Amino acid sequence: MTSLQPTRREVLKRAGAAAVGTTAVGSLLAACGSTGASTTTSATNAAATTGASDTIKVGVLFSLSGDLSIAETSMKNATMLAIDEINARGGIGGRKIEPVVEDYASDFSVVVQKARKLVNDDRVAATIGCYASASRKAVLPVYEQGNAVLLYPTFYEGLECSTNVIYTSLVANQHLTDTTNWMVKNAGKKIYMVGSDYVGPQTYNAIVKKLAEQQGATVIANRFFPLTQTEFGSALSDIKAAKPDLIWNTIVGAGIPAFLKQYQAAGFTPEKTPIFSGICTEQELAAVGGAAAKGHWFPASYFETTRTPDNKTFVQRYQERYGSAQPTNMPMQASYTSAYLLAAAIEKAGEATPAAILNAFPGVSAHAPGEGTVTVKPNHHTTHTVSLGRANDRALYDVVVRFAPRDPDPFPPSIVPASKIPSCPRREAS
Amino acid sequence: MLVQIAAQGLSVGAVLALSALGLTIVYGVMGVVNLAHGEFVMLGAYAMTLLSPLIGPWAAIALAPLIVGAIGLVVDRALIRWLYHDPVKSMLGTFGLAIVIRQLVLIVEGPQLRYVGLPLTGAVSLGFGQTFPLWRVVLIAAAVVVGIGMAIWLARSATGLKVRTTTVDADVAQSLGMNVGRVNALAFAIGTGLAGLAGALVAPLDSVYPNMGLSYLVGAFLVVILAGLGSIRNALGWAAGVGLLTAAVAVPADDVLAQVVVWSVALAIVALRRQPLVASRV
Repeated sequence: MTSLQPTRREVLKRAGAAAVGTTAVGSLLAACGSTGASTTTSATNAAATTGASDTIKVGVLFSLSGDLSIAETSMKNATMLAIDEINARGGIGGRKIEPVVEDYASDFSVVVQKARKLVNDDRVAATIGCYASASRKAVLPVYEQGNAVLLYPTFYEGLECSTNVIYTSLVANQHLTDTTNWMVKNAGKKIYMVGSDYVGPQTYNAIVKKLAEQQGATVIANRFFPLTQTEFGSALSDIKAAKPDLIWNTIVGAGIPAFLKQYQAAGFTPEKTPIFSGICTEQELAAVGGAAAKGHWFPASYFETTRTPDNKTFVQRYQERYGSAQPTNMPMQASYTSAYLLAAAIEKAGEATPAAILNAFPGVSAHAPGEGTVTVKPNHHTTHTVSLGRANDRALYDVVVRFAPRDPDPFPPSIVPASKIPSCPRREAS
Repeated sequence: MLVQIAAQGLSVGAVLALSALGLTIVYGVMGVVNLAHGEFVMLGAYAMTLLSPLIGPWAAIALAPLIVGAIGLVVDRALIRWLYHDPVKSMLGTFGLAIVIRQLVLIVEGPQLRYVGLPLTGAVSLGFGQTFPLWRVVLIAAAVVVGIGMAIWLARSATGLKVRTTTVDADVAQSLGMNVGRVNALAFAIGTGLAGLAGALVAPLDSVYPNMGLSYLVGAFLVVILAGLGSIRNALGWAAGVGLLTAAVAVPADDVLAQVVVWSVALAIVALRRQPLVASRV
């Protein structure tokens, strides 16, 4: 054994140095990965500069590697499916869409570089992309300063209406209003809230709390967990003692299966203490397993199980191309629909410049599979029809109730004081 | 409430203890700070995920430590033996190893979260009308049995004596005719095998994916720093202590606050204690 026994301080110091090394290596790796991606995916550049007038370049900006890649790869796939369909029917006014795919590797600094490349170098007509709110916030200045167009294709918490972003999925007021009313009326007035500790879940829970209290419900706790936490025994002990009528849940990502499995292990049942989740699509639910997932509630504007001919076609085409390993879900459907909304806006504008596209967007409609017609409103958000689904033993949601279509309001009066409500759209980044 | 805190605290402590035991043995015997320890926990969880549909959960739990320990043995001969008794080199080497293991699992098994069902779904009564999940009781029992079993094995068996001798002075052990290389390889296999067991046992309650190991490494490190690297008895005690403190804050209040309290207390203890990091070995 060594004669020099290390002291506690010495080893701690070294452990600290190792941790710093981790971060540096991590971001280096991410940077390398992203360089590789841009060389492989923008082989179309040369063609684009010579024949720019023949095609319309559209950026497709998602994480195809890293922690967010499970969700975002399927969103990229759905976007590409729609672009190919549009091209197959002759493109937009005779011009084909030329996708420029970029992988931002789940890294919110890489996403800025990639957005700059798409806006400044590729000069795309518009971009479909981003997923986590952090990625959208990161690229806002790029799109606003370059007066470019970003179609943001996933449900989110709101409190934003950028002049340069078209929000094509649900915003919180659409997602949560009817759901909360239904939940309080049918499942009970004593609510226990849990969520991951960042802006999306915090805002979602604040809105649900306000809406539920307006319906006469009581929120007995509102607990948040560090994003990477998968140990929920303490919270479940507290929930057991508090005996709520229902649990409102906005835990995200890897926490979801752990929470649902530990809930089941603790002896909770969906019949007695149902969970309503705000952020748990079919994709997250797949990892929970049918036994633990069954009976779990989630509101969405799209469910894979919707038995309409248009949705059957959508699911079939997607699975033919990308396999059936993963269920289709709301962000995928919104990504797919985004390409059609963009095509409609360019057709209406008569030209594929970002300024003309932005002008044309309000009032533009497209058909969303399994949902119906969606229309972009002057506040840059989109009308949607939300349904409340309940998980079956295949970990897919069956629609239990379909609500009336609802207009988007990114600054709901329930949580934003009247004096703080801005006029929409506006420049978000200064 | 107090009963719930105690039960929940011991259950958190059990997971910490199971993951800390392997880390502390590997350091105690060969002076290797294994930053890939969490990845061996992850491999154990994947062994559980892949095997339990085929051979049932209990056989999978029995097999997981053997499989992960065998992988550990190969890794020791290929890499770790060049890093003995050099904490800095071993940290760098095992940090790289962690990346390689994570990426291999990512390539082979993909990034998606994996599902493992609960082998036992019942609950036990704690009295006062309170119940506690049966699987968490299994975790606590496993930590106690494995911890005490390891301590007895080291204290009483012939191989345990060799391991302890090597821990105190490898050169003397060798001069006495012991095969130190074999003892070291065995210790690394046991350390990683324990990580594999921890992974298999927590998989039914956790989310299984390639990056899941880091939180286990962090938890194990916290316990090992408080207990002193290389001490099994201290590791068990401090794991229970950390678990109980976590639950004492997290059950009535908040998990974010619990982490702040636990790490602040740990920092204060380490700063005030001014002892050498290494306690009496094994």
